[in-house]
Amino acid sequence: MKKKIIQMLGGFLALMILFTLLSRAADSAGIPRVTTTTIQSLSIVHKVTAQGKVEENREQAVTTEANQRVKAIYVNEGQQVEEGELLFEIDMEELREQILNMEQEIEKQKLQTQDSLSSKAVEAERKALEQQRASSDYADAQSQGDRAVERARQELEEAKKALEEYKKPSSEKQAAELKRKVKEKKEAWDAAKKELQALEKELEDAIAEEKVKAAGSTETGETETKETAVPTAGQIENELKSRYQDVLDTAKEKTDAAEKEMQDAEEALKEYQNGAAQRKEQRESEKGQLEQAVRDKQAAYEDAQASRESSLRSAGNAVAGASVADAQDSTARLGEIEMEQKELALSKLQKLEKAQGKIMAPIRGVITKIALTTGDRTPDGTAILLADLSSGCKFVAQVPKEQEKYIARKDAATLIGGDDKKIEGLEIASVQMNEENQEQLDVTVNLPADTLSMGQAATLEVSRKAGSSRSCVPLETLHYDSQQAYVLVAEESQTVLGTEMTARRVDVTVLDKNEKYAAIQEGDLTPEQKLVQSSDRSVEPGGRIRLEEE
Amino acid sequence: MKKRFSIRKLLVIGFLTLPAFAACYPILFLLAGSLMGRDELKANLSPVLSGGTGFIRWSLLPAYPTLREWVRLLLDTPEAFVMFWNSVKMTLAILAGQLLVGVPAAWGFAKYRFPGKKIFFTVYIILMMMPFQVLMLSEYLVLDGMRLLEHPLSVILPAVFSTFPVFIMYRFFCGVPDAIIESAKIDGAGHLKVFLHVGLPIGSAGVISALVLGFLEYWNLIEQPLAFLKDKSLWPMSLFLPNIDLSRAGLAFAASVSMLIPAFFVFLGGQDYLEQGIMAGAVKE
Repeated sequence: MKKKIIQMLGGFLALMILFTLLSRAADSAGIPRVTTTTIQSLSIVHKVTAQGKVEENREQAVTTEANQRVKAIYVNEGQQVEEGELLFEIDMEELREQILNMEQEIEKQKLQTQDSLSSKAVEAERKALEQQRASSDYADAQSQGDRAVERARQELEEAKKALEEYKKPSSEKQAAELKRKVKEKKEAWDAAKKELQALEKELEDAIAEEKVKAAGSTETGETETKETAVPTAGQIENELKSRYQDVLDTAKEKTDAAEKEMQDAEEALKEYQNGAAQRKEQRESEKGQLEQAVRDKQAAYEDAQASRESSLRSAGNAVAGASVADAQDSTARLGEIEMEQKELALSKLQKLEKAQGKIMAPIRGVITKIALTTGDRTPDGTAILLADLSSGCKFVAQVPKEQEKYIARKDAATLIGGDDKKIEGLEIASVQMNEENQEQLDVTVNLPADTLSMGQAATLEVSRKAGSSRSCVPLETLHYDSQQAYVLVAEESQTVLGTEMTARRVDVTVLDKNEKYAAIQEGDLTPEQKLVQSSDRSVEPGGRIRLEEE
Repeated sequence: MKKRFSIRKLLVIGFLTLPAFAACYPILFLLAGSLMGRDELKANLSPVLSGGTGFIRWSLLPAYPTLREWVRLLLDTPEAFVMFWNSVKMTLAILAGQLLVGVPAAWGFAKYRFPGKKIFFTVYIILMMMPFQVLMLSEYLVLDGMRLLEHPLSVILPAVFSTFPVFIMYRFFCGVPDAIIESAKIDGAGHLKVFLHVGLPIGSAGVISALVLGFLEYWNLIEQPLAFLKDKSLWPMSLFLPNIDLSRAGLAFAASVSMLIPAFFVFLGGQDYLEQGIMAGAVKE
């Protein structure tokens, strides 16, 4: 029993040994076998190769007058021509016809220009006249208006004056006059009366005096009176009365006359006053008429002023209209210009005629394009395109844009022709963006004379040596995780299974690379580190690897 | 009468079977788990292993039994074998060392008289009582002083000088009658001959029981290698997959079962001795 148990235990252990081996085998079968390398000190050489073609350095266009009928073409595309060689010929008959047409047109143009000039002069004259007329119209209008206004003003003044006159106290004045006369007469009558009274008084006084005198003389002076017949009182009185009678009578007459006059005057006044109401009515109507007249005149005056204003304005407008400048008229100048152009064209045609319609090669070159067809008309642009042979050839190749940084102007270049002929010591003349394809660059190399002929294909090789780097790794050791580059470094690590090789990921910075090697930032890797270069299956960072013995 | 007895017996059996089953349940659990597919394990264990909700479900019969995890363990995981053989080596070395050191020591304690024997033996017993955690620091310092850390010997040597097997074997060697030893001596046998030809054969049961007990203990070492060994390639199988996640749960079950098998065989083979040894340890003087 115990033996059995021990046997079973032994069997179990044997089984475990078997599975140990099996699992080891299975495990190691799954481990990638890798080869490794270390960093190297290299200089990265960037080699750019590109296929290209030899092209002309410079092209020259041969042109002629447009719209000429091509009579004959004497060259073919690709043909080499010498300077002065006949290229093609123009139909002379048609050329002459065109020249004639052109001359006639020039003549026509000339006439037109002259017409235009003369009509312009006439127009200017007419205009000056008009202007003058307008300004004299204006002056007339002004003087006429002024006169009319002046006249109206005078009339107005007169009317006003008349009214004013009329308004003055005509009736009152008359009444006052009459009254004054009455008063005067009264005063005169009063004065006359007074005078009469004074005279009467004087008479009485004188009588009284005489009476007193007479009385005295009787007493004292009786002698005298007796001497002079001493009159009695009655006598004296009568004497005085008669003496004074005349004066009194005239005074009385005077007074009576004055009284009468006064009565007349009063009568007249009374009469006047009686007729006053009637007269007043009459006056009122007269006054209304006068006022109406003033108003009318005032309106007439204002009308005259307004009409003067309006006639002045319209005359002024006429003056302004007449003095407006005419629109610019360049017909004549344009005609001249056109004529000049036509003359130029004509001279060209004449030149062509002079050359018998023959177009020659201006330089030595190769015909690259003929844009003419015999019998058709010449185009406006290039008739024939010539590759200039005297200026040499150039080689043009297209390079992908990514290689832009490895190729630049003045880089040394080598060309390999179709027959493996190597031309060294060349220089890149230009690197430019291809016009049609933005992803391509045009690289141009100027070719020395007699190296490659036009149209020949060749291969361009440009090597550029970047500065040497001490940390260069073969490209196959580099891996990329999105944008980050890394290498796998084989390292010993302790695992449960003992010391194992694992691939540790080390991030590196790639400075430069060509198709074989990459220069990485120094210090990213040490020279001792073994970099996984190749493996029989994919290696995961951190995964186990087995180094392949070399 | 007979029937009544049998019913009672059945009741007793039934009553006892339940805890017996409960005791065995973890092993059945392991076996079932090692045969489950990954999906089933995931469905069952997600509440604890991947933050799912609810409770773990478990069935003793896998719904979709598969040997996938066994194949994975046996063919795709060489690490498990490294650890398995580490366990084997470690356990065998410890047991061999205990044979060399512990058996003579036990014989000496049992059959010789020397000054301070009692004190030494008491110290031995005290040491035996001490759990590893108490001794860990001092052991670590000593091993470090001896430059033995990170070496299998750091686990092996302290175990070799363990006092427990000495105590077990001491009991057995005490049972060897002095008369036999004396007669052997009279026949001209020296100390060594007496030990080898008289003591060992008679006390072999004790030796074997000590070894069986030792095997079961050292086969399952966890703390010592974890404390003294950092290099995983030196770890024993008991430390395989210290962190079980869902993707490796099945592997862990399979590994646990495979771990169980040698112990099971050793237990079967040394069952009698084991019982004797345990009994020997139980009888105190």
